[in-house]
Amino acid sequence: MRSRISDAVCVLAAILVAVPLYWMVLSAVKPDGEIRSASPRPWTFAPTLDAFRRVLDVENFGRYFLNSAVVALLVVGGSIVLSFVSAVALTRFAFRGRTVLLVMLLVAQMVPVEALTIPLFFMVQSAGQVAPAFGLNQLAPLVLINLAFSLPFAIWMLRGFVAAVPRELDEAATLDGATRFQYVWRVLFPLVAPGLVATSVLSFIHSWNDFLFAKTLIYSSTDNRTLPQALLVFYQPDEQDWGAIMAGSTLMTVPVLIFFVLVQRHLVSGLAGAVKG
Amino acid sequence: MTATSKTVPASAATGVGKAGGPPTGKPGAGRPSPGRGKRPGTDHPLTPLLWLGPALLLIAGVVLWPVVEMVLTSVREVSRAGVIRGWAGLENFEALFDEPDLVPVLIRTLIWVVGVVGVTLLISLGLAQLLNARFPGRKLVRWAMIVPWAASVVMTAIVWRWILDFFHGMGNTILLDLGLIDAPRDWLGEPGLAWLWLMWVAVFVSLPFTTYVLLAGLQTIPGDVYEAAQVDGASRWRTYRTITLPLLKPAVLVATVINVINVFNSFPIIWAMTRGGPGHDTDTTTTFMFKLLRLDKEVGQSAAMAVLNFLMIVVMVLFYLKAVRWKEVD
Repeated sequence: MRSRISDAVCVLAAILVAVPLYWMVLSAVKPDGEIRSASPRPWTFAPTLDAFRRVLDVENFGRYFLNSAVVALLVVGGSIVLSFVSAVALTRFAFRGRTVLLVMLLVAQMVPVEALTIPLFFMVQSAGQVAPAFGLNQLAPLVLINLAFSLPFAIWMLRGFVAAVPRELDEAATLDGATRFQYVWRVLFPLVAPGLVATSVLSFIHSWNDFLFAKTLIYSSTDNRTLPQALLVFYQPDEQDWGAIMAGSTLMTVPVLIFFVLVQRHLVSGLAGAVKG
Repeated sequence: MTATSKTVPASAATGVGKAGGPPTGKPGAGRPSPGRGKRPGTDHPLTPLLWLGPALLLIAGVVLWPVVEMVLTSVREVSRAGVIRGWAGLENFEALFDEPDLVPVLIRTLIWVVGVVGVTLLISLGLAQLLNARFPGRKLVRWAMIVPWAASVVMTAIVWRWILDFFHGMGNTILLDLGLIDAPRDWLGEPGLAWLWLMWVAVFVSLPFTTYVLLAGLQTIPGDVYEAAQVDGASRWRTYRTITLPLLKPAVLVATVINVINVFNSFPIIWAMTRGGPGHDTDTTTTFMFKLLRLDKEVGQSAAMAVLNFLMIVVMVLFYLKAVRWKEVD
């Protein structure tokens, strides 16, 4: 009885959500004349890869892709380890100020990042005077900053997940003579894997799509740019090369989509951990 | 060592069913309070600090410190070139409150947050309910739902801006063809219309996460509760209102808090689509703050706006958490 209507609603919603993606890919393969046409059509009969060629030729695309990937993967790795260890501490140790700490983590999530770019710029600049690898135009500070900003939520989410692992397991492992370290890494870690998947996805998109920090910190190096920044080259106030922007965006979105689809199944159970705490 | 490796898989196996697959109403999950403090005295009081240390240090250095700088800047006198001239007391705040645009911007921000989060939640509740049911092609629909999540918000905003472009936009062509409008319209040029489109895009990018959180919440509800309701002959709507919604409360809570934070601070959508214009007509506090800094070069005043923005979110979220009586469960 409900099935027909709900099917229709779902399909409609799916189409609606996919519109920008379709539009992006379509614009990437449209010939230039059709893009600037006064009566654009939602299809094309003369698909071309010119726009992709423009992106790959003009820009050092491979390099930027690699930069983005390295930063994102380091952020994911760091956030898996750090958020897991912190979540264990927050659920398995009773200590004073735990609730305050949790609220503080939530508050850390609320800072208006646009307002922090200037202090961060100066901070990284001074860091660069001490350790050049952590200075401006380097990728290392970008990793640390993206990691720091994705940690509060990751910890918050994982906490519910670790809490859901029954404590009887702690005791069983202790009775078996496992040290806490062994228990945490051999038993607890694999058990919260779905939660870790969900947090890594969020950390990944967070840093893969980051414009703001990259734009602030990598302001003059052309070698250390990341993808979103590189795409802005085609986005000029007067004359936008829409074809190239869309081709670049397509290349940028595809890896994330693949990543998402691969872990989609774990995503729901991963988020379940967050909503139980 | 052998003892550990022998028993670990066994205990892990029992646990996998609990933490892994779709969480089905496991008894006492998430409320492990009975086991609390099983090993008193084994932990040094500084042990938790050791575990939390790396994460907290990083957050303190990269998030907290710039926030302190932001607050300091708001009570400093900073020249247009960025040179600190000394303390300004509350002058920056006074100047900010004297801005004729501030009150409209504040009101608009409130409408923005309440409107976007409210609509997102309503749509997501429906979508989550539908996606929780089994139907052919469910996987495909779930994948489609992920798309706006995976794509960068800036990109999404740029694509929408282009769809709504006056000259080359798809929006005008389709609506003209369908006969819904008589003449092409400048969707992002008229403040009222632009505002609605901005809100739509904000809802659009918030939907996937919200829907997934609510979906996760729905899956933690055990099926037998519904069977009981069915036996009692409760109507579908009544079942939803009296059983599903209350059990979904934690998920709705998480979704609301995270959305309020994100929508409040949402910058790229408005900036990429209208730059807060025409004038300040589509500005929220976040873009207003940015304009004070980059266009007016009022560094101190912009920092004051940032502090005000931050305080407003903190107050709003804490107020909400108090209103729904959120407590640390374990």
